[in-house]
Amino acid sequence: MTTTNDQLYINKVINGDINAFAYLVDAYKKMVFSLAFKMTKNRGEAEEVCQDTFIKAYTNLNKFKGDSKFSTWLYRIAYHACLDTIKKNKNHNNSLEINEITFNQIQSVNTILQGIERKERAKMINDCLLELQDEERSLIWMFYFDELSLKEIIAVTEISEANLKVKLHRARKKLLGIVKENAAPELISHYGRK
Amino acid sequence: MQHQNLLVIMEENKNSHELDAFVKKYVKEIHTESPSKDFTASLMSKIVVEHQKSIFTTSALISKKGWFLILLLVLALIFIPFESPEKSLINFPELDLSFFDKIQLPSFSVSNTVLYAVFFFGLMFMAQVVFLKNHFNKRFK
Repeated sequence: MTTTNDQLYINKVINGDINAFAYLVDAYKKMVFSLAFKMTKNRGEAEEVCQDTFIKAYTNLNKFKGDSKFSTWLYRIAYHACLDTIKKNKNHNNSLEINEITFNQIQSVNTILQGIERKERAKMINDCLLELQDEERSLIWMFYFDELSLKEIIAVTEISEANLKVKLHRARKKLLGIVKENAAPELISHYGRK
Repeated sequence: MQHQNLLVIMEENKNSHELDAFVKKYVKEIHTESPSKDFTASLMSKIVVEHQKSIFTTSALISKKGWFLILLLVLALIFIPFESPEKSLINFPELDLSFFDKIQLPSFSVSNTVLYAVFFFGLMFMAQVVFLKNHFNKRFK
């Protein structure tokens, strides 16, 4: 995923070689689809958003000036396409009250999670992530999974830096709360098995 | 008291670092989903359609530059004869405009407030057009 390679293919597409676009699609479809799936929580919708994103990217490719990474530019289009879809379908979100967290809480949840098999744990964290609100979930995804920098997230979402930090912190806390709630029964069944 | 506050802040910082590490560790473990196998193929067929559309896109017959030149020409045609009446480029036929006086319009007056309101409404409307256009274009920069 080197930027110079991207630029090479982008230039080819702009010069009329449509097939060069397939390279860009293959390189980034997983990233875009994962974000879309995380945000819309629906495979069909995610696929649609993913397609729209690439079509928009194709028709606006000549507007990509290369000031940012191509992936960030694409991410931005995808993020806004997801927001549009969510707004259209308005899945309602359940919100969880955030309580103050303590070091001990983190430690105890950590211990519980360590006791669960890796595959199972990944599924559980994924389920917990889906319980977050759309915006919180997308921020966590960008920052922790796709490892976008704060600066890149600001470029994608147009949220101010201070606001972003607050939102990220709140999202982290909420996620811990949800994991804690979901992990408690897991813990009981875990010991039950022994 | 201050010492106490400092301790609380330190504790909070420590917790948020811990929480950061916690989330980083577990979120990274999540498996990503892939789109369906024929995704690229079906997308590319749509791109081809899009490409063909772009070949046939219409562009304005008279470009912005063209309009500017036309405006200059019209202005020149109107004002040059007034500037130098002897060397008029085109001799406009004399028009009898006296019929304007014969038209009797019912007299009505509009207060200044209404005039200002209409003026600013128009101004804001134009501003919005520019603003919205920029806003939507910005997404693709």
